Amino acid sequence: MKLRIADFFVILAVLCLAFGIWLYPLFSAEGDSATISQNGSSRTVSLANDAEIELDRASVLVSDGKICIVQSDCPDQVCVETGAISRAGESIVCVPNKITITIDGKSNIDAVVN
Amino acid sequence: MGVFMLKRILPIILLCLILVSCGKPAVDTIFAMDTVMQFTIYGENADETISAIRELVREYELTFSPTRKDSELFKLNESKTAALSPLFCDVLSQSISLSKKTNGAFDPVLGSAIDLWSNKQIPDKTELEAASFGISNMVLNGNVCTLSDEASVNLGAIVKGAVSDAIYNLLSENGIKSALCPLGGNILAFGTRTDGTPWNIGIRDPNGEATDYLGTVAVCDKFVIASGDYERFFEKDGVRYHHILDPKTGAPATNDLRSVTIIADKGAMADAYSTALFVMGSKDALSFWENQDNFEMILVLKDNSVIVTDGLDFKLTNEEYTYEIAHR
Repeated sequence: MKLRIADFFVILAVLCLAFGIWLYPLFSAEGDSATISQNGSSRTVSLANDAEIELDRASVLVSDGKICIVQSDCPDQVCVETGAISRAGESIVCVPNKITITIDGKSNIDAVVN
Repeated sequence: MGVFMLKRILPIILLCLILVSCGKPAVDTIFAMDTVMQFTIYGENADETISAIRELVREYELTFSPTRKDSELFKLNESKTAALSPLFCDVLSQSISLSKKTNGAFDPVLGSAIDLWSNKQIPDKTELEAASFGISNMVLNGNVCTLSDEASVNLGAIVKGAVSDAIYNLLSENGIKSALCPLGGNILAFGTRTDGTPWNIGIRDPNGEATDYLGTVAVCDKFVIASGDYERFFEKDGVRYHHILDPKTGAPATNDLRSVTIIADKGAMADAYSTALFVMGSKDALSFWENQDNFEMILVLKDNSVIVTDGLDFKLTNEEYTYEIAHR
């Protein structure tokens, strides 16, 4: 079997594509979407468009590229007090209402201890 | 394009798909033990491991919840005496030995004092003085635990560390090489990242939001557990009342510290030490560290200075803080 020049181009193209797919999440540091999860179901929302989102027992607001929980019926209000987030890897958690909101994309760190 | 070339391309595409897909971890979120636990587990058995972790966390919740009326801990606090399950007995025995080691700065029998502070109000002084709390109010004889008067057990300062020890064992048994498990703010950084580099953990900026950090520490295969005055607190007349009680007084510990982060090979120990050293204050915490060789720590002080012990790979990222390295 003999490789032709065209074969090399194809191999190269496919490798570039695979490498690109693999690298893509590493370079998308700027958070432009967020994942909202509650009770096992998740949805992704763009931070580019302002929006009001009603969850079970809480309301979410997307505005100016940031996202926050504006209202929640939980007793401690930790989620509301967290304020608005926009950077990749940041998150808002409401333990009583089982909500997590995480800005998509890769952060410089793996986790924050607190 | 001929068949000849397709034959070559197909295996390459398959190989690429494998390369891309094997880097994808199993991810899960569990709301339990009054916190949110997020698991990111890499490797072949990741899905089975997550199912096993769910079972494990359920067992810990049913045993140690201070609020669930059907938990073993709740029943013990009601009846004041009980024969304990092996799991409860194990964690309580660890608590007793860690309390001795820290000279009482960590104490598993603060339940009645914690209850008095739970309404986010300053309790009545005479009520607090009259409350029975402290480890001297408990006897563990074999597996039989007996509490005196109104004393009650609260393992909130150790049980998340203890469950992370059990999760560590599950990950090892399932042949996992890489996993990141934040249980609330307590982190189990298992193994290394998939590329073999250390995990990079942010140290919470006490002046900032929950996701702001003042510096980072690079760790492999460690528990990173913190206690700070920025969690579960209320303010009254300009004074901050946080949730970490001094066993001597039953009131929030007051000293020069804002947070203590422990980095160690044992979760239960790291959890209990983070609370105990926060209660001690920076001077006693440092001399405690000098006399032990099984943990490293990061202290954040009220004057925005940071003390980092010399076994750590720490980087300061927030210029509002200064740091110095402590040597044994």
